[in-house]
Amino acid sequence: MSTEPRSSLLGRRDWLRHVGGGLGSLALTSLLSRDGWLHAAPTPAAVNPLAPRAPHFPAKAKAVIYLFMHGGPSQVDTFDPKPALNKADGQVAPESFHQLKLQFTDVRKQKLMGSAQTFRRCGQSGIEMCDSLPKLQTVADELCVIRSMQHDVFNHTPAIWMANTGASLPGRASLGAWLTYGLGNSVDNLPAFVVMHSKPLKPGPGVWGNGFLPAAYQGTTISAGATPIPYLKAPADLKGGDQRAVLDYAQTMNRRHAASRADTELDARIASYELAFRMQTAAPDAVDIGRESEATRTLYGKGFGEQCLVARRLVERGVRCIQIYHGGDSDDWDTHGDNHNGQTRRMREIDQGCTALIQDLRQRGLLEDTLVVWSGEFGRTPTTEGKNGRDHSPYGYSMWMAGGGTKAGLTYGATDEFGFRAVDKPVHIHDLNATMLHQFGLDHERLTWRHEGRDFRLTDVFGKVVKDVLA
Amino acid sequence: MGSTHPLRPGSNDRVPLMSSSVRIAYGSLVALGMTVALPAAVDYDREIAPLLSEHCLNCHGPDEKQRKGKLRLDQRESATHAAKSGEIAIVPGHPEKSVLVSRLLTQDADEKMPPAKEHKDLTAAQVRLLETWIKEGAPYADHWSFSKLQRPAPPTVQDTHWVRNPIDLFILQKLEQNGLKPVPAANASTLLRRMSFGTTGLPPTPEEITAFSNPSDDAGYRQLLDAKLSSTQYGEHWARHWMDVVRYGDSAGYELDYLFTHSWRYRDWLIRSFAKNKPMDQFIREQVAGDQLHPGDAEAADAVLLLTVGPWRFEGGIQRSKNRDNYWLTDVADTTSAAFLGVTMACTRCHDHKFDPWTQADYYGLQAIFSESDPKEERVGKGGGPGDARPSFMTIVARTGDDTVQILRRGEVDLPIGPAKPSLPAILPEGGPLASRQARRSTLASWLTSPRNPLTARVMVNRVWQWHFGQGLVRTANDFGVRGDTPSHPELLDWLAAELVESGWNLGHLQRLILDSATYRQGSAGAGLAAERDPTHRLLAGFPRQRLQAEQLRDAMLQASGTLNLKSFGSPVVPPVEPWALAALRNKNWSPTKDAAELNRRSVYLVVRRSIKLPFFDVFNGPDTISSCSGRDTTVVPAQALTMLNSQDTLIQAKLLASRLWSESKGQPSAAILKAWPLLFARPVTREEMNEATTFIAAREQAWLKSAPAAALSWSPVKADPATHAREAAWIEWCLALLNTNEFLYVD
Repeated sequence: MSTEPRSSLLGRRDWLRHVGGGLGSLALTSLLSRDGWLHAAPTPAAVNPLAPRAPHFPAKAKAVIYLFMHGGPSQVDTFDPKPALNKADGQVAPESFHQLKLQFTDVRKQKLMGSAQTFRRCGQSGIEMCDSLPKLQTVADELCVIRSMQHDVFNHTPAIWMANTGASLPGRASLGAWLTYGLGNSVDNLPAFVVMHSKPLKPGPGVWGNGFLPAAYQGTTISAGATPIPYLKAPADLKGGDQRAVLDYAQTMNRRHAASRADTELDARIASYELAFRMQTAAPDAVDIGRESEATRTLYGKGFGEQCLVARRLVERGVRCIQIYHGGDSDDWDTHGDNHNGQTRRMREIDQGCTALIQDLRQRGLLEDTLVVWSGEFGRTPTTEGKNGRDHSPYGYSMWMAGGGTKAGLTYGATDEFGFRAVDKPVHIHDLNATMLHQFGLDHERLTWRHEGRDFRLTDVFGKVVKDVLA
Repeated sequence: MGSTHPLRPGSNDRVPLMSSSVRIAYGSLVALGMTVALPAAVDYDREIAPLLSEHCLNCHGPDEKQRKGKLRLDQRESATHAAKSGEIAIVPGHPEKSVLVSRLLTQDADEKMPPAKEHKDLTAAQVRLLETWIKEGAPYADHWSFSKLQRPAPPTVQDTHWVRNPIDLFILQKLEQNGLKPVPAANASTLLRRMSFGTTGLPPTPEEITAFSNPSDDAGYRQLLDAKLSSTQYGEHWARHWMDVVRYGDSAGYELDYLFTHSWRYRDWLIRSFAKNKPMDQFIREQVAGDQLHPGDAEAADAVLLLTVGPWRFEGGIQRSKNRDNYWLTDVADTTSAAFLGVTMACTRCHDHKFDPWTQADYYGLQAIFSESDPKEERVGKGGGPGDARPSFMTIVARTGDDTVQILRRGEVDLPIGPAKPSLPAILPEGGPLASRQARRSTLASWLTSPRNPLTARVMVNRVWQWHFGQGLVRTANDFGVRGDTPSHPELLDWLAAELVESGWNLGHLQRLILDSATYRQGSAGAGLAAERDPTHRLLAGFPRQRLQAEQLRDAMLQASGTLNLKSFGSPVVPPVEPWALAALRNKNWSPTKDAAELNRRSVYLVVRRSIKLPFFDVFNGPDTISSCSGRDTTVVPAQALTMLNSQDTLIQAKLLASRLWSESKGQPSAAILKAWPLLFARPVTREEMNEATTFIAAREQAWLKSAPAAALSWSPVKADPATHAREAAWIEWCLALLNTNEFLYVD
């Protein structure tokens, strides 16, 4: 949107020197005197932490819609069929897997368990997918499936932290926060980073937090319904009041107060009230899927599909990072018992929404620069837990991406014959995060924040861009 | 200045503040009119060390495993020693012979340092600085914060009339060197509001405002200071500061996030300690080893709960491994090193520190000090098994069985390297392995508060300074290491630290010194030359304006509306929370406190759940409670505006404020306006503001006559007639606007 000069992201120094005005008359200042800003030059102008900033190099993606499958989808039941596993069903896993640490089970004491799903090759690309995802099968040629995801965190809470922040312990900043720090916000009436979830998450809301970054970069949760953003509407008891009059009166006092003080933070707060005022109108409109055609609403379906539709509306309005958490609480992808039916139910819940999102983005010409990501925090064991469940397994699992400059119709990497470990072209979460940042024109090694004496990154000291999956 | 402003301890002080010899030395310096010579040479600690740290030490620093070419640049002996090839990185006096310089300047990509992939190129000016330093003989020096603490003589200044105590000499010297002047003293109401929020976290009362109307009334000011600093409310506000530093929480966090029923005892111990001006050395010792130093003493046992109020990991699967013990030792080692020593030892969990001289032996040695003890957890009530979310009660007990701590490769419990000896950081005075049979935590406690420890007092006074001025003399309060900030006024920092130690670690004395300084009593920072030359207020030409902390803001609203419940101490209050805020919380055992009066208690008594922050504290930058918080952010985001404008909680406060003003003014707008300004802004209303408010209220009243207000917009005991109801609604809107002003939200 903006007309002001865009600064480069060469470093905090330049960043701070350049981002004076921003967002038109807006200047949301932060008193950035904390650890992260210490080595920066003094700033004569207000620092707007949300001013749009140019990336390190030209970006392929403008937005990301991250569909997070809370609980852990099973790779061998979704995108990574294993005939050898089906054949060996009921046998003890080979000794080479015995050392793998799992949360609840001991590999030595479990049996290999084949998948009850049927699979087929889809589209021209021949991407393999199970038949519980019939709609997604029709857009297979848009997908880039990675079958060799891996890390070593086998509990939900730390693994969800890991996927989101690159560290298994709380305290780091999430992908969306890093993106907002790196690129700012390009709209003036909506947040840059929006999160939707319908159930409680195991790690709590910190996983879309700002960690050590300034709080301006944290995700904003929105829900469907009348209050998509907390306190977006005046309280019902004030019905008939005149919020604009109240605000005008307060702002008159604020401007007089600021005039004698020459403090840009005061100006910024005056401006933030105006942004808040605009958000009250813009945000309900952005999430109002009632404004979509009947055909579009039917395309997306209910529940998860509605969240996907909201995500598309947000992308159209310039929101950069949208995360939708599917699952949570006890009814999610975490199928320790009755794996087949549990996984099948979850797939049916997401099949239509994912597919509609890809089709709709494609049709509107948005898929090219919108990255759609589908992944859980880990996969599941090819071995049993109890009678017919599967335990967590982070050692080799599947995810997919679409759009945003990724290579469509690609199947990348492989697990071993039973689907336990990534063996061909393994992709660590750090690699995935580095790759996502790369698509936004950000070098994950240069996007840093000084905290406790160290330059932190989303990718810790790891990560390499997986060029093979990029178009 | 000495004679006109005698430095006399306040009534609560235990020890006279300045030894007479120091005073004499100080006086004679003033008499001699000595000026401070600026160093001509390059300053290693200020100029060279940060440069080496940023650009070189990643590969040529203390971390042996990462070191390239066996070259270490942070130690002179190694840097000036010939390598196998015969090359010498630094030849003192000869930049042209120093390979360091040639490798920086070369155009050969294979030779060039730092390697291009590091993105750490030096500027030409930085290289010239290194050359100059080498030419001057490449002198190395101890990092400032590790060097011995000595009391510097206060400098001399030109404008001696301005000075109230030695703090001002240090501040004024820098101002004068930069061609700046202090801002004239704050007026009475500004000073009173600032000092009141700074000490008790609460606004001044109308009575205090009436009593203190002349900023030069020194006796009146000191009397107020004495009253504030001996109040429980002061204890509450400063306990809250300290709770940030020690990652305080009332629940375990992580997946289960069950409640702690012991944390509040530690919080109450903090409040009592501050309120009774417990000497800071004792304050520190008791938190580290109160149980060992005072066996059987219930109060000391509460102090050591410091070690138990951090995040506690207990989820399915974890309990079977050694992980949990490792998490606890990591938490206490990280927290205590950050809180008391202001150092980030966390890096050494995985490898030797890349920039600071800490080693893995230091870090795991510190863990081994704590491993003599065990946090004993008793779960309250019946239950068990996976997903057990019952509350817990923790105490610190002696460990039974093996207390060996393993040094871990990459910090992973499955990669032990060998046992760690209980030890104190080796590079600090009196560091190194502990003698066997010493009670380890007691040894740590006395080492931390030993006069020879260079860090503890510096770190503590810096925090106190930060909590008054918004930023520390060292802005990285938890990082006094090589990569941390360098002090803006190093001599002042040392002077204050020495003063604290010599006063018997008397915090009350330090508070009075700061709060009565001319520096503190300036008007607030504003426009002009100072804004241009010192936009971040490091030189303190004027008092830096600060936004109220979340807790201060909530408490101030309650006090203004007349509903603040000043009941102190006890188990945490659980406020009701909107459903959307609880939606993401897995362990939903959220049972709001029933007693309405309890809900109006000070914010420090509200429950601190780790997995979810109370929305109001979250939006106004509350601490994360996972690790030590060195200072609060003060962001400006629209969510804050939405909270203040639209939340039911603010509306209720606006209504309570309106009804209070109504009853105190018998419903007369002009009388209510006169009362409102002191309550909210600690000053009288101006004529212009009086007219504006009157007009606003009248206009809104007219409008409400046409649109019937909701029943909730009335406080009349019986149903109000339409005219009264319209007026009540207008007053509520007016009060809501006042609560949304910057003048209410900021302290000048």
